Amino acid sequence: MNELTREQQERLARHAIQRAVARESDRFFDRAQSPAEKLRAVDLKRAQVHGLENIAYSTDRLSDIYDFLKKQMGRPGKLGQRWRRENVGQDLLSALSGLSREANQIARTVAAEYPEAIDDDASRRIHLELCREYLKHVAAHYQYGEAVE
Amino acid sequence: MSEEKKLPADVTRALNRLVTIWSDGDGYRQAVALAESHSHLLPKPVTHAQLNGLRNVVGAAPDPKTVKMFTDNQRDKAYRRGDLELRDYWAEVGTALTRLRESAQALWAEAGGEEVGLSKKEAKAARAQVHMGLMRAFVQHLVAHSLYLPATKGGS
Repeated sequence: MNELTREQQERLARHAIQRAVARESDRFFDRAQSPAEKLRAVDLKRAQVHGLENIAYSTDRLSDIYDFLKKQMGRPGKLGQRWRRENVGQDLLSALSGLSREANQIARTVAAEYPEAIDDDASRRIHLELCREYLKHVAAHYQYGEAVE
Repeated sequence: MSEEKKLPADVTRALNRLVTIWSDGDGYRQAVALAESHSHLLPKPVTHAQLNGLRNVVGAAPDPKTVKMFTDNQRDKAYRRGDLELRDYWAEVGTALTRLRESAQALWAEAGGEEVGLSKKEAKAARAQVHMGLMRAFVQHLVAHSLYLPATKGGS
């Protein structure tokens, strides 16, 4: 491994990260079902759920996703109430921020194998990818649940 | 930077990356801490309207001085009304936003801004824009957390 150039390490590290994120994503499939059901139970509409998913895919900042959820929970009126009901917004916020554990683990594992390829920001970027995967599954479960209702 | 020297693409990319990392890290933590330390003032006297006003001003302001004028004005208005806690809140927000200039300077240097060869005036303007970027991120986090706190934790 120490004979690999930096460029080779970076390429292999990217593939390793993609594989690790894909493995985590498959685990999210089941975990995302309950939050999706809750979103439907509190009568949050598709536009709200897709709005959250779109934020995750359009930003390169984790904090944008967190701020979106916080603002939704802080809104006056019925919409804010729905995001706060049954802790649906809070649980999503906790689940997403909690993905930092998986992100750190992936970054550590890949760094052990390809030390020149992992910078200080790798964990944060992996965390963002995991958030996208998680929300993708939540949105899919939500939509499926709506369709079969 | 219109007719003045533009930043090289790699410096711009580095700056954007560093501001993003700062926003997700120190910026987020500092803003949340400021909101938490004033949770007793939420949702009144620090109202939704005041928070949204701050966000709008920072979003539209051309430079940090404009933002400071706004927070100073809010501070002085609160003082004239006799609301000393609100006065102190706006004073702290103004101070926090002004202090971001040091972080902006550090990020500017780390991105290689000092090596670009800008004139003094151009460099100052460029650093001011980095400062504005940090202010906008900070205020976004501050406002979001300030709206969230009373709604979810039974704040005042």
